Amino acid sequence: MTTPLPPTGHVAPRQRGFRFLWYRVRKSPLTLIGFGLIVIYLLLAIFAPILAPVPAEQRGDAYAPVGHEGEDILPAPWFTNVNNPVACASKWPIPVIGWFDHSATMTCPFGTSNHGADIYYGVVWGARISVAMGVGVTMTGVIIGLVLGLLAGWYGGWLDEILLRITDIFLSLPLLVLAIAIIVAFRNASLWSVAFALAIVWWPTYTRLVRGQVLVIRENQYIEAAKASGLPDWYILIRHVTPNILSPIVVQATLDIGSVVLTAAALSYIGFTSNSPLLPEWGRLVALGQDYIATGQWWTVVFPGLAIFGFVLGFNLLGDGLRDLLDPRGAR
Amino acid sequence: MADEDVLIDIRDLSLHFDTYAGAVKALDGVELAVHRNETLGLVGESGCGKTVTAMTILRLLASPPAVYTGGQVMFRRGTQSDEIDMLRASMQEIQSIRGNEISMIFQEPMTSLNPVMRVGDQIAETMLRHQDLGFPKPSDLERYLESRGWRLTKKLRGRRSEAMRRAAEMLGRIGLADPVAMLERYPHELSGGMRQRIMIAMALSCRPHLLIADEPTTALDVTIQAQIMDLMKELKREEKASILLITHHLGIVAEMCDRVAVMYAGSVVEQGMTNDIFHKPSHPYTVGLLRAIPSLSGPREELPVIPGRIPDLIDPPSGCRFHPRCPYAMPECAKKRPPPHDVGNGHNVACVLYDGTHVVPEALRNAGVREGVA
Repeated sequence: MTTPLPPTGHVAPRQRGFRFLWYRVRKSPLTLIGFGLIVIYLLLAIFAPILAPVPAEQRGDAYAPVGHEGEDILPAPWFTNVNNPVACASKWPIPVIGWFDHSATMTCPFGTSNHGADIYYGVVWGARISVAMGVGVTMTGVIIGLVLGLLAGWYGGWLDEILLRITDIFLSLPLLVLAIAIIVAFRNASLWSVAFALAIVWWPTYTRLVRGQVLVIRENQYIEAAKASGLPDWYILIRHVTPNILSPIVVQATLDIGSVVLTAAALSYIGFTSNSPLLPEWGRLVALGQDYIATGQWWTVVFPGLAIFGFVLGFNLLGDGLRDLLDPRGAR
Repeated sequence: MADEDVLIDIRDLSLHFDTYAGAVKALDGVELAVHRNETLGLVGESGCGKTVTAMTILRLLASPPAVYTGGQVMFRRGTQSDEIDMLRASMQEIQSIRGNEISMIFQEPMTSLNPVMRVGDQIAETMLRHQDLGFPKPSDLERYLESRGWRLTKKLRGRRSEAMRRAAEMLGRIGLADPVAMLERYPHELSGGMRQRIMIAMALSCRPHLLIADEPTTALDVTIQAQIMDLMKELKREEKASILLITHHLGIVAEMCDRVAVMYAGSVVEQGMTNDIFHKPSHPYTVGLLRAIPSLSGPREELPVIPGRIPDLIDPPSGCRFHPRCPYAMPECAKKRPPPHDVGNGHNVACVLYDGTHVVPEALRNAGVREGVA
């Protein structure tokens, strides 16, 4: 009599897509922290009108340039005067004592600036600007860099030469200096020109990155096999080349969202958003508060600074985590 | 053989690669024909131009380095009797032939599949590109929208699932267990033999007339080799396709091929029926090649080698490229490249000895392979 085969062990069901990604994210605490930070900032940005409600009569567009000549000057939503009882609109439940030298009857948890602006409001509404700025500039850079890098790497020859030389011109200048030059050329120191300048400055890195990856990928035999299957170039570029080069780009882009916000904060701090003086941009808040560090009003600088720190840290941790996670050769 | 019977006809094909060191004259007057429903073995040493010839059929060589200096690659499309010259066809025509009427299997199964794409998608994409996958009858509304130039996502989805169904069917035919689950797998989850089977499934998915197999089993171990070879034989019989089998393994040639073409330094020196090549090899190079196969039976003796080395193709020998190494070389060999001479039964030999005015040496006439060759 033959011995029956031992029963096959329990085979774990195959994990697919995001579930698999989540399964691996769970195992890496730093990635989780980064992810958590980003979620917090996203929630801040989404729920800003609820977390920091603006009285109807003060409602304006946070992004609109405020204070242009000849215009009806409206305060930005976060800019409210503590001396006006309606104005300090933050209805924070815990009473905060000693963080500001104004009347403690008001509940402004992060304190106020010398103008009486509520720092808490600035931090909350600033999350919107930072998320939009970081994601927008990075996405623009990735898209431009992806298209140019794919073309340069795939077709090579004179197209490659031309695109690379243009890229080199951009890369040969210090990023911040070039961005400043572009903003100055616009003669409009606003948030939009900062965003535009950063988008122009940011794509060359991606072009280089993508091109380098394409040069590696296109020598693979599966690309040859795809050609031998009669697939056209554009299809091979989109379906075969792009997915293979995507992980370093996603990692780079995630890290760059933090850097973009940091650079924007730096530009804003220097004063390149000065045409919109009441803008709740974190870098700008730091700039406004810097004069008061010495006199003990540390909250004017610390809270916006912490907001920048957390944002950049979050994206850096997530980017590093993704670097390990986005490897298709992991066990499933 | 009837002319209609010829699927691929390579005539006097020459090409060189531009390199910094100079032009590498990789192909020099290649004459080769693949007939319908036959397996043609293309054999020769490394670097003799086997793969380049195959790539030329599909025009897969990047054209700045590769320069076609002459000749034609005529392909008889489908049932049409008109021929198309692959070297002069437009890219659209080439792309509609690649993977559809002529497909190719590559040497390295480990690297021939895209690591980030599911196996099913990779098989399906070729079919989605080339095949009329039919579609369940469209509704009146869909027909109306289509007549106005709208493409419906639903329709695309229908095509995709049909392609997936056919991919699973193909995987089943190729002998993979649980083909439906296989569609979901990524290449890194599969062994070399499985991947090569999937490559074959991809190549055969559109029922090509010609399958070019570039050393399909070199990277596999011997048992898997035998399985893959059996599979290819079986599929060839079922699909009535032709196979151009590139290899340097003469055992595989003897087992698989109806006809054999022998290449040396960029030209075909001899082609004919497999039996004729093995039992009546005529070109001095073929003779040397067959002598170098160790015999399993018979006394142990030192294997004869062909003296000399493969010529440098940047500066190849004049005339017959084999003449510096040929024991029967004559002064005229260095002057002119010999055209192929028919020695009967479609057996062509590119050697002056067979032009009818020379006496073929005794050693060449009795050079057939001994029994028991690997």
